[in-house]
Amino acid sequence: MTILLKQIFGLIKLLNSETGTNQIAWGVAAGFVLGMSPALSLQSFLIFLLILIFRVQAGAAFLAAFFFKFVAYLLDPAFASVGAMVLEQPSLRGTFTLMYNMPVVPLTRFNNSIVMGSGVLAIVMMPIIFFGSRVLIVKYRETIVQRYQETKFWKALKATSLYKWYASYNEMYGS
Amino acid sequence: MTDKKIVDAKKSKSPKSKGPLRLEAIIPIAIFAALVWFYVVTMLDGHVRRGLELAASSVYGAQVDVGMLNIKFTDPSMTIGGIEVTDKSNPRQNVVSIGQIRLALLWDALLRAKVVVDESSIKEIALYSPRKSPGEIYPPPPPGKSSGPGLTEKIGNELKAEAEAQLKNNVFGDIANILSGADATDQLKQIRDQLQSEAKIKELQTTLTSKKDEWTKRIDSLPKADEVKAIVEKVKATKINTSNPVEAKNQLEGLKKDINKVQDIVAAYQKSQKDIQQDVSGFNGSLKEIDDAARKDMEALQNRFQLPSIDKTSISKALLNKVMGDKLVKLTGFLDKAKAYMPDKKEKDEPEFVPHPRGAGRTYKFPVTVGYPLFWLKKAEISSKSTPEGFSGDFAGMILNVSSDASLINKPTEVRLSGDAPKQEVRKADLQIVMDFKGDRSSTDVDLSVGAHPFPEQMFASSSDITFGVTAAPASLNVDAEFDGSEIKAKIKETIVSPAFKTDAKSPILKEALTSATSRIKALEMEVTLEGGLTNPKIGLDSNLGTELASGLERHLKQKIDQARAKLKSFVDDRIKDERGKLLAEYTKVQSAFNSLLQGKDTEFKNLQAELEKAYKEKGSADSKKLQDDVKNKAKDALKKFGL
Repeated sequence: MTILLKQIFGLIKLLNSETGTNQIAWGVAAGFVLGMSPALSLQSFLIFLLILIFRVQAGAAFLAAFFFKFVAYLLDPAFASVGAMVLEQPSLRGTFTLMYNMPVVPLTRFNNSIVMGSGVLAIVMMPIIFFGSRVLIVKYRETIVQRYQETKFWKALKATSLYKWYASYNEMYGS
Repeated sequence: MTDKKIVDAKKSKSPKSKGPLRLEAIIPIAIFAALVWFYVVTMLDGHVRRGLELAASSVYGAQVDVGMLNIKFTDPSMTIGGIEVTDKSNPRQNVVSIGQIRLALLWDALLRAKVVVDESSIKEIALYSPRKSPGEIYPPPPPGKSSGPGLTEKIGNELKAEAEAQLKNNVFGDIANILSGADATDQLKQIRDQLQSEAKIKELQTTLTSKKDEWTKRIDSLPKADEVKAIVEKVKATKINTSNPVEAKNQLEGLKKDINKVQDIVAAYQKSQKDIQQDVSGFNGSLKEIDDAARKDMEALQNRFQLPSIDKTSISKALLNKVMGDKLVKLTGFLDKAKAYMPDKKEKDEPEFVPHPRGAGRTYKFPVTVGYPLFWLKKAEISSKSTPEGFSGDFAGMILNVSSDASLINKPTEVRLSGDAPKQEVRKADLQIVMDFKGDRSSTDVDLSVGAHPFPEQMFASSSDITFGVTAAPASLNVDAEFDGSEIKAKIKETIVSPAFKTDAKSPILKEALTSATSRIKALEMEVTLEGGLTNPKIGLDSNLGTELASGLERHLKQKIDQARAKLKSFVDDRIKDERGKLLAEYTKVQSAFNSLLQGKDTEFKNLQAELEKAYKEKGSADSKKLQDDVKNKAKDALKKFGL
């Protein structure tokens, strides 16, 4: 929980800084894929591992996963239709038969219509989510953060010794 | 430090560049992996072993020990040793113990989340071996809802009920009644006053008496010798008047008539004599009727001893129901357990590429080209060495193709086991089970043959009236069973060579009959057949015990009847012997007397007749010559007178 909270605080801080735009955008994109994937599946584990290994914003990923899980639940019928359409494609039957008979791959449950539908949409939508997130983050920084930093309240807060102490601490030990 | 200085310091400090990899996460992951590896190497085996013990003990309800467990990941395999399962009824011994189980798994299957045991071995299996320390017994769970009695219970109940009914009918009581029917004494009492031969003798005695009177009267009515004597005297006394030829001629003619009269008398007498003799002799023929009557008496008596028909099947069933019922309960015990693993009807294979609805989405099945079922035990070698303790033996065999999806591997499950258990006197045991769940219907063939195994003493009947059973002896066992879906067809045959029987009965006849019948039984065969639905099969019981017992009893009955016949013959002969002798003696006496009388008279008549003929000849010849001489002389005198 501490790690999770730390990641979320890190996300807020990074979101309000001027750096780490791509990290947050990749985090959201990875979280989107994680949210779309079945909870206990091989692909979920792999994405989780990728989030840990690569320097993507984990807080963003987990928050996005949490959010998109609800969205995915609502979109299950649509996923089922898309998945069924893909799985029933005669041209792909050979590929699926091959995958079905491969080791490990069946553990992804790709032959389930919802898993396939959500997987296909996740892959297709991931670049859109990534670039969309990027645009939104930049927009957020330019409008909300900028405007907020110019308020008297923020300036007063920055002038306090407590903030200064925090700033120097963050400079030395912060990630 | 002022804000300006801080900002300057920030600017002068070059930003620390961070690569795409989160090193601060990779190191903990690596440490975690190392810890996992350490755990696997040092503690996993122990924990899995303990987990197995707990799970097995919990499921079984008594202490299950696992001595060692070794898991290898490089060459995926699992070795489990020292498995001991506590006997719930006697915690000081194991119900089964296994020296070692080795399972060699396939990585290829594991990567598909399937367990395929490529090769395995189960060694040193022993039953009822002693434990080093008594095992714990856990309290049984509360009984669940029963769905009715299982097959074992049904068969047991059915046979026992039948056995009780048969015992009520008391097959031995029936046999004793049949046997007692061969007792001649009762029959003799019944026919004592009904002997035809005896009545015939009495009848002939009366007839002889009346005949005697008749014959006497007839003899008395015959011509008397005095009459002939008078004629003879008359002939002798007659003097022929030779002087008068005419008168002489008349006299001779008169004598001739007398002779003819005598001849007629003699002829009449001889005819009457012959008739009487024939009549007397004819009575001799009547005496033979006594023998005919005696024979009819015997036939009538024999008809009372018609050999009764003994129902061999009923005897077999009555005797074996109880014994084989208990045995069946033991032998079919596994069926109830096996039933759970025998699908009545296999679900139809889903047509290829046709999805079926699921709770969340639909799961599609694609043709399996390289696949495994969820579980597949390809081959397991089983071996056991006899030990001085417990039920163990020199067994060897194998289990092939145990899988969760037989249609996928397209091979039947097979169990082959053979060997001996010298300590338990079990020899030449051979078990073959083939379970085929590939098709629409499951089928299982079980073939079990045991060359010799101890057959404990079995009492077929045990009551205050009779004790009948077979003593402990080695027996051979053959089980041939087929399960086809929910149908069963099974034959269980138990054979005891040179059986020894325990026979004792209140009824001496029954005891004698049973002893005699069983002494001829060279091999006792008992056969049980099950046919029909698995839940309600038709049970058949057969044994040569019934056949042999029935044949033996029939033989014994025949022997008894022969004895009874001899006794009856002797009885009849004794009963008529005296009277018959008296009658014969009387008849002989009468016959002799009459023959003597008639022959004497006959001789007398013949003598008189001869005397008469002689007298007549003499008279005729002398008087005729004299007459001729007189006629010649007179003729000469007459010629002389006339001067010639």
